[in-house]
Amino acid sequence: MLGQVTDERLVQRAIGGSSSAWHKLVKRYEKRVYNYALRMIGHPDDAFDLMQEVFIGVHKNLASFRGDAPFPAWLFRIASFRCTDYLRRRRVHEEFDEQKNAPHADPGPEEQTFNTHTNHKIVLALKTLPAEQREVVELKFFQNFTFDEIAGQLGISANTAKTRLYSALGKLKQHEELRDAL
Amino acid sequence: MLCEQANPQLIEYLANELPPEAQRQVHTHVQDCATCQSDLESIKQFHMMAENWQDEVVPNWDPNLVRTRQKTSADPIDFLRMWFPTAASAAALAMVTLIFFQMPATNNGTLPQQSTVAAQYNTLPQLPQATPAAQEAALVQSVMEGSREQRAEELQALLQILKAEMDRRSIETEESMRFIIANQLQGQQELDELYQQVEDIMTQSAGAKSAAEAVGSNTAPGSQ
Repeated sequence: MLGQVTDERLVQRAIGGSSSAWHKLVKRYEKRVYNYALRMIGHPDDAFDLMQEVFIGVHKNLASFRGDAPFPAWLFRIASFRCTDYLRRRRVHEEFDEQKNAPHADPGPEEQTFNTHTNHKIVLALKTLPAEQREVVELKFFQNFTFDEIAGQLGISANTAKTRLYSALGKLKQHEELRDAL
Repeated sequence: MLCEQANPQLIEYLANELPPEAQRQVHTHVQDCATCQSDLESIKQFHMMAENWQDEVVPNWDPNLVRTRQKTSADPIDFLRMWFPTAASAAALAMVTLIFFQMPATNNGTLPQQSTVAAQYNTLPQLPQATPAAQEAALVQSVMEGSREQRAEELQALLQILKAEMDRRSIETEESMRFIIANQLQGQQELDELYQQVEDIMTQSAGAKSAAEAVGSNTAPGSQ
């Protein structure tokens, strides 16, 4: 029976220089990474940039993928790191622009950039959370990782991940936008 | 099982990720606890939120560009923009401190000796030039380590840059100070010379006047 080629096999072939294997690997995960970035950052252009940064990081580190953990867990470890770095850089840029009295680029009416009203509401709700809590909510509810996997991806303990998640849930429960979306 | 024990396990309970015994205990607790039942409902709603998300379409792009785009971990301009405010503040503080400590307390008429900072600057090692291989290694490292480690590395790099910048500024400051002091001394010297000349002229005029008076007193009796 011909099944889908495993991630590990694609990684091995991509390391060996196969562009088609790399292409397949990216296509397999680009939607998941892009939507992750969209929920974390909230704007399509920035999310697209971040997605590309993630895959650049993945490509550069493919040789270090040992297969000890599933490929998605490894991929999202890089994605989490890149996202944290991206948000930190953006925050510094915003502070820098504020100091120069330069208005921050207006992303435009965000609602128009999402497929559905629900998506827009969800992004708005997630935006009310600090980045570290948003990250845990994303990895737990949208990516369905276990607390141990989340802990490994974020370099924190499982208990810390759990604490962040419950804090986030407490805030989200009071969020009107989210209640409307559910 | 107490509520304090059961509540933090609700998410795992719902996902059936707890060991069988814990799963059973939480289940028993939830049957009798209104608070946990309410929280469980909230968690279910959040799962629904995730399910309600409709994936957005990824814009068209060529994944193979990634293979050729060996982008560095951080754009140098971004790096500068990121650290410029901090670096400028630190450099300003360093300059003020250096000026304060290197300012001669009194001007005894001699130029200050070259400071040790300036001497160190002359022998300051060149900053390592980033080669493509080094950049790649740095990126790999940065990706694999946590953000805290990368921040530490960036701070190290920043400190190196700041040190070089502080040394350069201190040299400039010292040169400026030396120039100012030299100018002041030269001005003082010129004033001294002028004063001396005026004094000489006054001495000469006083001498001439007294000589004239002496001559006058000597000739006056004879003339009478």
